[in-house]
Amino acid sequence: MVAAFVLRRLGAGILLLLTLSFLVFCLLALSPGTPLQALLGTRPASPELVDSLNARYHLNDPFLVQYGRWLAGVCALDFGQSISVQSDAPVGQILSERMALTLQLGGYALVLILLVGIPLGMLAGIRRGRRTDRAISAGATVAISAPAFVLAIVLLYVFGVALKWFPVYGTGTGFAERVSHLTLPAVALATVLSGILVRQTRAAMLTAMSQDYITFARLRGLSPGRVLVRYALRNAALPVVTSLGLILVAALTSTLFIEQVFSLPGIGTLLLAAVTNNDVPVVQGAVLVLGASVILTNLAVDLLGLALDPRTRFAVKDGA
Amino acid sequence: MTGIQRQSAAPLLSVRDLRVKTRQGRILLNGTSFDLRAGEVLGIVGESGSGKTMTARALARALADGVSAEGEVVFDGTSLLDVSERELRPLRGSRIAMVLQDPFTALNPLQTVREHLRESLGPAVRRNKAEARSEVERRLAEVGLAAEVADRYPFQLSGGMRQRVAIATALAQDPTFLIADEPTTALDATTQAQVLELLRKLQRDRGMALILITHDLRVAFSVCDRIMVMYAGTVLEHAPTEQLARRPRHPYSLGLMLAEPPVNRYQERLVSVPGNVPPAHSVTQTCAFADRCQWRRDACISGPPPLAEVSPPGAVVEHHSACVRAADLSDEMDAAIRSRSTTADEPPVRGLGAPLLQVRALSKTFRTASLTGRRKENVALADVTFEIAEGESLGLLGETGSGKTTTARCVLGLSTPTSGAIELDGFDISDYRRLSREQRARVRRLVQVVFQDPYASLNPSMTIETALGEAITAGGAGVHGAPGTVAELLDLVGLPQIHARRHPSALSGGERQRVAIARALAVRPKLLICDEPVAALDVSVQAQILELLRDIRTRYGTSMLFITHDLSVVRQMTDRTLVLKDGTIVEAGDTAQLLDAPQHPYTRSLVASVPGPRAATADTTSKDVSREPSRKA
Repeated sequence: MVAAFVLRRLGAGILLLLTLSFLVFCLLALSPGTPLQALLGTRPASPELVDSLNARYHLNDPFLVQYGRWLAGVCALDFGQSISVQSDAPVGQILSERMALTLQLGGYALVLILLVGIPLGMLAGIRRGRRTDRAISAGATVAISAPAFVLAIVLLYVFGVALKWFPVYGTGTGFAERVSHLTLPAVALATVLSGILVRQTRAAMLTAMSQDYITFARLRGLSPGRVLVRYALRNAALPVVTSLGLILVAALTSTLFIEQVFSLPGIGTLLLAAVTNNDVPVVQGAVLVLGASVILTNLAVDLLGLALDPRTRFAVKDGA
Repeated sequence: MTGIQRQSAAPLLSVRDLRVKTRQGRILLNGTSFDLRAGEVLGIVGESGSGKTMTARALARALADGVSAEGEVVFDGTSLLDVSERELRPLRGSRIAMVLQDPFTALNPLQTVREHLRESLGPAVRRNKAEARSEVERRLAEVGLAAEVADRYPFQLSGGMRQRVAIATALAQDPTFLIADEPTTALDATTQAQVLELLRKLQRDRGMALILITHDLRVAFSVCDRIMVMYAGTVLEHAPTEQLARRPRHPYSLGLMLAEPPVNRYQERLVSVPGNVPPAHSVTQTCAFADRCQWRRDACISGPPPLAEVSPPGAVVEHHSACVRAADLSDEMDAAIRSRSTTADEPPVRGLGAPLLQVRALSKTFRTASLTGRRKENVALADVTFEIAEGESLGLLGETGSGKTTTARCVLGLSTPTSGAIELDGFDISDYRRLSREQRARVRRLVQVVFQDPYASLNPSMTIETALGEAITAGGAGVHGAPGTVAELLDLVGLPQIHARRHPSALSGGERQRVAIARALAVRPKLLICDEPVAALDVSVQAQILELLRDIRTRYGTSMLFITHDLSVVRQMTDRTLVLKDGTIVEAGDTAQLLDAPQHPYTRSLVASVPGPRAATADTTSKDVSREPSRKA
């Protein structure tokens, strides 16, 4: 039953990716500049050279044929060769290198978001209206209001340049060094999003705490710990998980800025470079990878919701 | 006035001058005192704003944030208001328990019934797995539920089953004192009777003290030893049940009893208490009921009247009333109560016109699908056929899920029937989508609706004037015979003109329902659908609204489709009645005949489940409670 659900969602996801890749292909075709210009670079555009490049990269084929050729390749897990970003390197290989770094950055940020956002949000929810709550809520508002790229520059200057606690540039080798290199970008990425998560968790907690079942549990003399964990937390978890899905997707877009500011060779910088240089196969590949991660994130969130809430397993829709 | 029982053994619970205030100092509950002995059942009866729930919550130390209680509450030697939550916890569940009103929100949606029960058991039982298991089953059996219910989640159970589970968990440690706050209000009539029966049985078997909070005097009469009548944060009368039922000594208690529309006969003039319940803080220095009392004298408003003894000589249990004129009025009040049970009016015979609404073989199936792809078809209506003549009022009687609201939605075009035909005044309205724009506008002027909840059916951001004006414009100006202005509409439903400039939030529930009725009447419909129009209103206001609807029918000859679960409303408001169960009509006929001599077993069980003195023809075979339908998905 759950397997059928997953299959159905994956099927829908593949359709979505297909549409996405086609739309991006169209956009690239419509945008000014051609791959040819990028390929030529500073070389003189002699007819022989143009012809050979056109023939090699099938640049003269009709639009749909080009898309079809790309799609056929993808189906055989061949994403083609990069045109200009890393000339002739297989796109699959570039993507997996770049994606690894982005995933590390995202994972690091996610850990920070969860560690900061959920406990603080819960605390604020439980101590509603008290000083703790007001301090946390004010902090969350400030965090949400700080644009990630501005924050990134401030962090870079204060902790990288002035205090020299963290490296300013590069990715480091080995685990410890990688962590230290990714700390500032991860913090920059996590700040806004953990502010959002604090608010979501607080609201979910407030809703849960005001429910009749909490009152009824207290009236039956259940231990405060049980009421907090089994009643308040479990019920608050559902809306938090849902918002977490949105937060993760937002994190993906933010990485574009963050990688740029910290010059990290992740998928974000790759995508930017590929778009500027009209490197169609790389753009297509990166879009595919990013799109797939959004779809998988949402699927994971839904599965988590199914696991958490028995009601969603039997949820009823009015199909009038 | 302290010891209500003369030969007073030490009471289990003693309450002295209990007050509840908001943080800003506004009074919500105005000095309540009473005693409760072990094994005794006290009913607290009152309308919304009376302070009955405040009293219950104060006793259970479950008041909302920002509201606090003062006074003296001694339970078995412990002063409940003075101990900390930590000190109170050992008493909770094991000595004092409470059942809440709404069984749909009282259970943790993520936990099975078994987990609810197990966590509520005493620590010794809870730790032994095998013992806990058998104990859970025993507790379920005690409240009339089968053992397999243990592994279901709350959402898979019906309201009645959930309330049974809630009662079982509240009583899991065998407390000596239970507070039940409107435990049956959210339930269907037949379920309500079963749950009340269960509570009564559990109380008797255990010799448990019980405080039953209810707005329904009939419920209190059927269960309690003593009854306290509350109004606007004040106790107005406190009497043994028999005494209160036969010889009320406060005009408000009398008014409540008279306002209850009778179920066993038609009453030509429905009595209501004029006006609305005042807020508690506004009546601390006067008789709380003075403003609405027909017997008011200056003495009533010169100071708060004391709760004084009015017992007949030689009575075992004291009777207290807070009416300073209780003695002078006793004969008048007794006469009013007596006359109530003797008058039986003939329902008016109205000449009926041609059929206005014809519903033929109406069926509606809802298709449902879960996230994981289980599909289910849910038949809401199956082959329902009926007619309403011009000027006729038809009752649609049924419980939750019987399809009565679906029927109304189909007639209104809010739902499209799966099959069947609906014809209204010559228009085929089976599918509103097939009507032309012009036809649809005309049909909308033919049929209008008044919903159950006047709090949700008015736009809170619109003044009454705007809301009514909009309805007049939408109806198209100059509809034949329609009231043309907001002022006329307000007049029609008996509201002062000053309300035109107010927002719904400034109005009471009854006043809002009047506005909703005025809005429906703006287009002068031929058919008015009333979907439980008084179910959300207080008893003393219900009769006002019912009278208003009767008046409209007499004046305009409007046909009515009256949807309700309440047999007395059907009796008072309709000529014919259909009984719906699970989407089919199980019985139909003349209202008086149907209620006096019900034929179908289901109709008989409905008639039997009216609380209090049973209707004469009631078939009281008790139903097997475990057969109540569940909502297993």
